[in-house]
Amino acid sequence: MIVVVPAYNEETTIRKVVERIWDVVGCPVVVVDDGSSDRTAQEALIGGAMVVSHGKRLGAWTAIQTGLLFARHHRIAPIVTLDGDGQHEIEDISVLYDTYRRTGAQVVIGSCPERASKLRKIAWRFLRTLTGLSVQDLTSGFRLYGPKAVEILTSKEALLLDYQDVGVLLMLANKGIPIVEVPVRMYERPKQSGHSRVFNNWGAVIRYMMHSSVYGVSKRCFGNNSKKEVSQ
Amino acid sequence: MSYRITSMVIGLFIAVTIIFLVRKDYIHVRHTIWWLVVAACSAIVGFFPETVDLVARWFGVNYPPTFFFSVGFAAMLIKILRMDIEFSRQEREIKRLTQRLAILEKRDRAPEDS
Repeated sequence: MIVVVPAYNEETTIRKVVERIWDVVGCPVVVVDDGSSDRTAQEALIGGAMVVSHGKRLGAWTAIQTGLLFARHHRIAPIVTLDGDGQHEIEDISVLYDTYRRTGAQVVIGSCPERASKLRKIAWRFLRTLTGLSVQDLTSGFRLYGPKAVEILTSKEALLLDYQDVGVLLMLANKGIPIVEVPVRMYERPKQSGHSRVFNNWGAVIRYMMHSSVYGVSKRCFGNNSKKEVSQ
Repeated sequence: MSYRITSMVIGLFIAVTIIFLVRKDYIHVRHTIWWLVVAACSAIVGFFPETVDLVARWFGVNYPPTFFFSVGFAAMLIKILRMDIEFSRQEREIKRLTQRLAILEKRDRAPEDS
């Protein structure tokens, strides 16, 4: 197993996240530095991560994909992705991993729909209806991908996606990859760093909803595609 | 008469410009075929304006200038769409190259670890 952490200007939190992963899980960590202008790469190295740096900012999803590409290149699977701002509970990596081992699902989403604001919940429900996806937590960055999912997500088609949510999930669902959700803990992001890349201002919200809607309609999938795990 | 000359001049001007751009390495040959066809059509309409009337009648259009502009407009839309497709392809290529480079330049030793 390998943990992929996409990071853009996360110098205040990234080292702690990497060290926690070493302490709790003890598996290799790749930090994908998405063209940060601060000391994110250095801090991650000090924490003990391998660091892969984009020369230019390419967006959160492309950073994750670089991590997947890296793992695939070195034939390491499965892959856990989580955010560099410390909002995900490192101990819950084992929850994702156990679910993967038990169910064999190629995608396990660490899900925490309770964290969403009222507005975000409405947006999610709208996108669920539009896309036919039955995943509860559409935007969670805390996920586990098995080798088959990685193969699909490292394809060139997946390079045109912008966010690790609707587009990625639809691509997997349309290829018949089963998606499983397990409840995990999530924390508030620290106020100054790690701002939400999507829901931070109205222009971005509208653009995001428009992109996701067009994508959702054009790639809509039919049938049940998500199982909710209630255990743990 | 002047309509003929204008169209002829435009057609020839486009053709000459394109050949000049290829000669100076400003444009890939792949992208020039389209513009040369446009230049040829423009020149043909200039030399033989009655072709528009003839083709319009084939398609059942009574007022030839409408037909002329519709075809021109559609042709432009197709060209612009193709440009967006090409941009998307290039964006993918650039992203993949940046990813490959990042992986090749991987760092894994912190200064204090080594």
